[in-house]
Amino acid sequence: MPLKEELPKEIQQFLFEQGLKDEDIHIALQSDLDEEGKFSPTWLIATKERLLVLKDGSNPKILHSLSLKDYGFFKAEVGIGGGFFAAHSDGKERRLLRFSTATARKFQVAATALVKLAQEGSIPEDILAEEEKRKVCPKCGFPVDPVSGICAHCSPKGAVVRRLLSYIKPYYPTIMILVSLLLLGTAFDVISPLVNRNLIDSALVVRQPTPTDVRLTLLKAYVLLMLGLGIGSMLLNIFQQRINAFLGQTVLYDIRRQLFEHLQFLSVSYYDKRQVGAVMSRVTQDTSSLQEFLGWHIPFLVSQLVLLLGMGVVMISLNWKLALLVLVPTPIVAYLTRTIGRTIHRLFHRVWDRWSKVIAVLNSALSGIRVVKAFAQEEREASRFRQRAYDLTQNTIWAEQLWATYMPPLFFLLGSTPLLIWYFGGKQYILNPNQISFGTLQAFISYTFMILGPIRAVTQVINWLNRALAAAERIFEILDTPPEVLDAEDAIPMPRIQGKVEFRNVTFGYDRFLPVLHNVSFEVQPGEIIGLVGRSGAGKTTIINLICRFYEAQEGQVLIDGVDIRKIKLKDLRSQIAIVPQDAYVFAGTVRENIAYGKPDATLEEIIEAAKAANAHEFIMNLPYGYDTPIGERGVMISGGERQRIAIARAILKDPRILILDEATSLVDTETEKQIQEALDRLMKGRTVFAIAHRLSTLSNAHRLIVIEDGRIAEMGTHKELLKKKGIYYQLVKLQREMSRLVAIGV
Amino acid sequence: MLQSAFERETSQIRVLDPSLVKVSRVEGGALELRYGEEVYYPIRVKRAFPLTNPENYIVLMKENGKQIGMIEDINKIDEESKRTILEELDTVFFVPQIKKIFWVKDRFGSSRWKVETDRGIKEFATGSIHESVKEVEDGHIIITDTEGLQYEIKDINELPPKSRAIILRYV
Repeated sequence: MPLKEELPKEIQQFLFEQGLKDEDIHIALQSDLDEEGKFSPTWLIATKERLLVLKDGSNPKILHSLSLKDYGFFKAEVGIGGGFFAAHSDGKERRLLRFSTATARKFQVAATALVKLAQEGSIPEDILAEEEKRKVCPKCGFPVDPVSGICAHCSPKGAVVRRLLSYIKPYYPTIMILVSLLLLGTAFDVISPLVNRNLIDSALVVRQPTPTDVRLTLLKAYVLLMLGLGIGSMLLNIFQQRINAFLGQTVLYDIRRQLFEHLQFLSVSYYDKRQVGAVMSRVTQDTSSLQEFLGWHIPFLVSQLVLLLGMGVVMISLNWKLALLVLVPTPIVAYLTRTIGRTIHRLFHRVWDRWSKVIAVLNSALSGIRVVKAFAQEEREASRFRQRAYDLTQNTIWAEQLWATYMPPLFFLLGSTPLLIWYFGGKQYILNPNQISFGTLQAFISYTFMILGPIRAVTQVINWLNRALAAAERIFEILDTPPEVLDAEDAIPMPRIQGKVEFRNVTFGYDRFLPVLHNVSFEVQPGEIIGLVGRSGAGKTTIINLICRFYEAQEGQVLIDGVDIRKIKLKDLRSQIAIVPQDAYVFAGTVRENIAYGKPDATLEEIIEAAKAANAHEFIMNLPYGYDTPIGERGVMISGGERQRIAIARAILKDPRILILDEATSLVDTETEKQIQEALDRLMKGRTVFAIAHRLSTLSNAHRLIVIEDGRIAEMGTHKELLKKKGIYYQLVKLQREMSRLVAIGV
Repeated sequence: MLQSAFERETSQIRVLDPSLVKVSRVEGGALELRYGEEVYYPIRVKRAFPLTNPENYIVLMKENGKQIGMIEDINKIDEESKRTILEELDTVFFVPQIKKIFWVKDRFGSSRWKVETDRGIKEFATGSIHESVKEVEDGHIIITDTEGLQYEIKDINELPPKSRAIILRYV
């Protein structure tokens, strides 16, 4: 993140007068609040030695001036909506400036950077290179896409369009056929009012007396021609739509497949920063809106533009005055339609919003019906529903009445352009029958109706284009994101890990400016069972995440068998680590598929052996289809303890060298826990094990315990050693014993 | 069960005697609490019911989040301490009050706003209006912008007519 923002002229001048040259300034950050909390800029300026806080304005003023080396660390504390930046030394806190959450992030970064600046005289490149998450487009001020940070409106379109076209390149021949069908179909559309005209002029409203049989023959011929055109147009339509469907879906499939494959290989950290829902909508909605655009909007646009062009040429050559009468008022009508449409859309959106509120009450009251009844809150829920439902009713009435009032005039307006043609064209027909025939008049009437299609296309084109290109950009952004955790070029294959795990001065934060682990070091021998103890949020799971290399430490090293984890082939590493998590996940599939997830080629004996070792065989055999019973989503419901044992069987089958038990028994009852513990004891033999447990009794067979507090190792040693030490672990054990005694005597 | 052990440790609520609470801003700008013989520095303050009961149940904590005690009613402590605490709360619970809406521009389900607040004039952007503009109770509205900053309208009926007409389009 760049930490030097552009200073206003007055401030530059002011700093220069203070003897600060631009090249000495390493940090210049603007906060959006002043010391009273008003929206008014305040500046934080830092050189290698000094730190200044300036009040902005035509007359800058120094609020704080301090020497960096007098302070040990800096901290940006963020509350709700705002916070403050302070310098700390020896337990003393010096408030420097206030900010709102809009500018909070850069001060968090600055807190880390300032310490480095004081120590090393410069800010490390990787801090400056840290990606800045923009939420608003600097050009137009509207929000950017939260996943990609791209502004749909302002980003250049050319590159995206070219890249999009590359997806349909393999289908160029098909597209050529499609385009010719479109052109031909449009030609039919333009011609049919002309045939109509000739029919009227030569057979019905004839100017020169013509024998009846000739007129009848002509009538027959023209009707047949119209029939032919109709059938032809229908056939063209069928072919064109079939090709459309094929093309749109094929391209969609290509993009979707590529996207999903890429998503599978992105790092865990990618998913931390984004909501799964948002990423999912990339795969479902964005690809769909692309398909809609490629498959329907483009053909529609092309055909409507060609139609407009064809109609324009025909009309002008028939009668340019009437042509103008058709063409001129239509934009006005289009504009009105759009404006009214927007208002009505807003109202119906509100109706939709009220609907979802009604559904929310319905959902929570019915899903929680037991709670509602247990607390005797039926009447309150009913009154809540009444209120919301009434609100919905009112809004629906309002919206529908508005619709009822606006729509008829609009339709009337749309139907009134032909009146212009009837009047002015009719007048011409009566006064100068030589200039215009009745058939021509009739043709113009048809064209006034036909022009509505192109008008709609023109008003929508910007919208469609923007939406589709935005979707495309968001998809490409994902495809362009490299996985953060990758095999190093000189990655070492490690077919058989011994199981020695070492942390050397590891400092890590999911957000690197908010570290969760501080300088953690320990060494674990192969086959050792380690219990990780500490309150939630202390950093136990983080240690595990680093051992699995879901993340990489920002400082220090994680080593396995003495090799830096970043140098080990990912596939070798992950295939020899197994995790039994607190809430085991089962995939939609059969029991057999779930157990063999990490080893799809396992034999049936192996699967049964694993299930037996996991104490799962018995309950599996009680399921209706044994090992072939579908579980997971839409499958047979199984309990938490059963899921847990399936996860253990999965881990056993994988035969890992390093085993991680993350609260593996915390969600089950005592009887099940015993069964699971038995299974785990079998599983732990001969492997390096890291076990997290809140119930300290489950860690009884651990060789050593590591107590973590606030991201640091507080205590480390055997159960006995730690008890003798009478530190944190001792306190915890004492507390839990008291608790279980209370439980035992039935309090 | 370790969990519950920790909880028990913090579950004893210590309600502070309002006549003993003395909070002041000391050199450097951080807050210091003197409670009888006890002295705490620096302290942090937080509201238990920031939206519905901003003046009651204000928790005083040490810098690491350990609770010192709770003030039941801020009006019962001395004026100087009250002022200091409110000032501090304003820093860490920053919610500008909207006094006037100049305009709202919509585009593809997101919006830009220009408003006048008690903290000055501000332009901001929101995502989908129906997710960003929430009616907490009748006429009481909270708008959340893309940066996570919240703006409050305590009562839409107190807005100037034009501003009210604008906000009524969205709620």
